[in-house]
Amino acid sequence: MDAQRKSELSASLNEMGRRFWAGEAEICRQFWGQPRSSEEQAHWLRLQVYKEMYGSGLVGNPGGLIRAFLEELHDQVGNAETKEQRSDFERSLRVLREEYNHFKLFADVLETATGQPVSNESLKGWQLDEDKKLQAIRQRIREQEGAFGELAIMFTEGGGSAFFLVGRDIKGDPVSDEIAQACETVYTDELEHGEHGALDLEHELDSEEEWAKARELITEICQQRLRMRYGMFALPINEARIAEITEGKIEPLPVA
Amino acid sequence: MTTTAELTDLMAELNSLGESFWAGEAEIAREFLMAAHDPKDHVHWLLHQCYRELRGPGLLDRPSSRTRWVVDNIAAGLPAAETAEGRTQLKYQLHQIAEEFDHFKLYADILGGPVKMEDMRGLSLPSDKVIEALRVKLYAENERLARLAYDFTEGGGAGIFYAQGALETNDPLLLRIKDAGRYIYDDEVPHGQHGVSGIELNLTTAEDFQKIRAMIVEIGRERLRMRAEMHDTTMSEARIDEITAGKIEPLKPFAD
Repeated sequence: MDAQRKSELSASLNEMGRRFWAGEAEICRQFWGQPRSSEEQAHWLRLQVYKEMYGSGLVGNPGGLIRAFLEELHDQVGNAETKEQRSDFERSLRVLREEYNHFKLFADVLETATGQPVSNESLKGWQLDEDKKLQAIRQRIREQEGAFGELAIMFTEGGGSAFFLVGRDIKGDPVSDEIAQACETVYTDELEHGEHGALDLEHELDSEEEWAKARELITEICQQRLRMRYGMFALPINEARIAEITEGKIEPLPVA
Repeated sequence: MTTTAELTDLMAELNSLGESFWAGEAEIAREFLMAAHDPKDHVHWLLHQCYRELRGPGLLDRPSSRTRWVVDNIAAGLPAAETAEGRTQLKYQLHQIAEEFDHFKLYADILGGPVKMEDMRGLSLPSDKVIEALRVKLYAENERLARLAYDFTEGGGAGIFYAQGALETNDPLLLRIKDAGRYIYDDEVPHGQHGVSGIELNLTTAEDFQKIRAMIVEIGRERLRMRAEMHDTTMSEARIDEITAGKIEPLKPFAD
């Protein structure tokens, strides 16, 4: 496959991604378009805190990203002997600190919203049904498609930060202000990660069939991400709108 | 009862004492760095500084270290994640670990080639053992004051990093050392301020000040011997006495 065709397919996939991210932003605006009580905010905050601690979008570890990194911290340094290994460990530490800080930010807001501490025992039960389905889809893809599946999962990770993009603009009460600050931090962190998911695909995919398969997997994940967003905000799932978004009937989220 | 004015004077005296020791550590490093050396002559101190940067936070095994705290916290089910204070503490510990690793990496990259962890474990100097024994003795005498004294003297006021950062040289190796030193100096200076505030906030009697002064003198003098050994030299007891008596120019802050 020549470079120009790869570039076309990559651009098309990026545009499809941005339409799904716009769909996520639309759901966020639907929820935050009116004043929300602390309890309504706490509903999605519990899932967000769960996802920051346990969400295993990037790694298959059932303990989640933060625990996986923390557990390996001490052992990993034993391998940091060459320049490249030291750079790898430094990168791991940076990701760990970033992810942990995201957990901390939302756990702190949740405490403000509920006045209750975030207990580890309760946290385990905060995953919502649509997020469990999303996790199951990712896991199935990971198992069935291997490294190819990981690339598709990476592409969809974070949903283009649409959630944080919208969340950083909410205001009107102390909880909303704290949410906006947390979203601003996460959005800024995520921006730095950019659209490397599409670049990885461009490097790895080499035939029309592979690109079509990647598109199919990404569509499946993104559709479930939209259901997860509806569920997160306790909004009814609008399958008709999900179908429209899949068909491209939405303006893509602008590139930041 | 000690008056506020008297406490201010005692604090100024401690700061002045600290500044003499920091300048003493800088003097040792400066004299070594300004003498003519083959690149291989730098290996000894670079390796020892790598050892210190890893051992300090416990990335090389050390009891009661930051890394041990994180590892134990995970083993206990991550209780730190359950309270705002705990979450802040964990964030702080991760930040410190990352910073120390960053410093290790700067020196290890100057050494070039693999820096074997196995080799690092055996690098403890005779003077390190003396310092460790002193720590045990001072903690046994008065744990509260010893903790404050060690916080105050931690990093030796970044004296050796100051000396590196202040180098005037065109030598490529020394330029790398200069860059690393300046970077670490800028990181370390706020830690020194933390140690000063610890004493300011916690000491209220002249008697405690005299005890902690004696501890700082003991630690500071041993640190000078350790820095000298690390740089393959010795410092005369007469010079150590002079530094203890303040007969040394304090370090001037960098202009930029």
